[in-house]
Amino acid sequence: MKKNFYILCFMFIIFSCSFVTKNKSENPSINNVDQEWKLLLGMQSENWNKEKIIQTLGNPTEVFNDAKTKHEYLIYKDKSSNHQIWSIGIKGIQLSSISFFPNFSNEENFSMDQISKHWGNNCIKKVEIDSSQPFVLKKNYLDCGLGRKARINNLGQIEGLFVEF
Amino acid sequence: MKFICLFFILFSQISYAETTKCSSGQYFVNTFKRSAYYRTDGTFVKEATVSAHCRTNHFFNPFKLVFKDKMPEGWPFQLEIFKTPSKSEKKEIESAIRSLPKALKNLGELRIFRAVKSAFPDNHSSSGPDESIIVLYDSVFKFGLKRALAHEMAHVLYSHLDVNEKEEYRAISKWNEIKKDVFNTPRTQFSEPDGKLNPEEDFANNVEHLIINKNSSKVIDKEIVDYLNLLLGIRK
Repeated sequence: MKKNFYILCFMFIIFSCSFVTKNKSENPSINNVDQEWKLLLGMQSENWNKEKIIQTLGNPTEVFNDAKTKHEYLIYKDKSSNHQIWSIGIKGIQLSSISFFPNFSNEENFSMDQISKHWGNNCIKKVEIDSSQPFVLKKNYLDCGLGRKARINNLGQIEGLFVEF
Repeated sequence: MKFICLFFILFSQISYAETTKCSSGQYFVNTFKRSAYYRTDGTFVKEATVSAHCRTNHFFNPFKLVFKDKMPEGWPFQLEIFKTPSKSEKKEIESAIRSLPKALKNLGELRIFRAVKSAFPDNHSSSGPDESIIVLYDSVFKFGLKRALAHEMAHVLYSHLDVNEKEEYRAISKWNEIKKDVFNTPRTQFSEPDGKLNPEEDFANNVEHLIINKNSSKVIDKEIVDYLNLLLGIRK
């Protein structure tokens, strides 16, 4: 009797859960596919100022002021994982650089194909060698011109997208 | 109803996280929400919640040690003089590598080169992490072979981490990439002074100290020690 009661309870919970999930998933939002791309391309083409960046992305997690170059960097991180998402460089009130770091949740939208699709098909694979220290780094990039680069790691994954103005 | 549901989901997640033990060569990934995307064939994949699971470490490849006697192709320090490692040197190197944590020995083929002197002053070893190359100079035997190998193999490991594994280290060790290849951290404590230059060097220094220095917890932040112990499979 007790066992049946537990089975019934369990089935009731499962049923209600599937109902709630169904309601939410009836209209899959296709807009979410390009959400980060829209932000990136918007910032890049409209040359956003600091005010608009904070208005759109909210207050940054950290702010770094580079005294040497007089640049200010607004750093945004994922609240749960603390992984970096954005670093937006500003000089005065104008945008000087954008760095974006894909993660588990959106890596599929930042593959090499997707980058070429959004940044134009003239992206070229390039290698930069850094031998300024005893360990020699071989950095692979997708150079899409106009200061737009994407760093590719040894596993062919995109580590970050960078725009410099 | 939503409340009961939430409780049920939360409870199941907690118990999964508690009972999940990833096997050697794997790491734990907590539940996350994946954005919608299009596959290369144009198929639309809607957004979804990916439940907690174990992922295989990308650097988990059977170890193979290869000794070389000529300068690596494309080596930037062209004035360095390379030579053939002696039998006793090979034995010593093999023995030092055997004593290192298993995670550092799952890096696939590792090529060891021997040279007389580094182009950098007071430098006992160098590496080309992306090509799994380590160069050992004459002074390394006096400096400490195990220490130098731990440091250089940590460079190789770092370059073989996937995006998320690398980002996890940067998050724990508080590194930010402020613009392309320019890093910054608010940390003031580093196990070696050059650790403040970038996350790669910081990672290699910390791994080296964790393996060699018995008092490593005094020079490395606790969160970093815990993370590296887990990554390297070191039980303390």
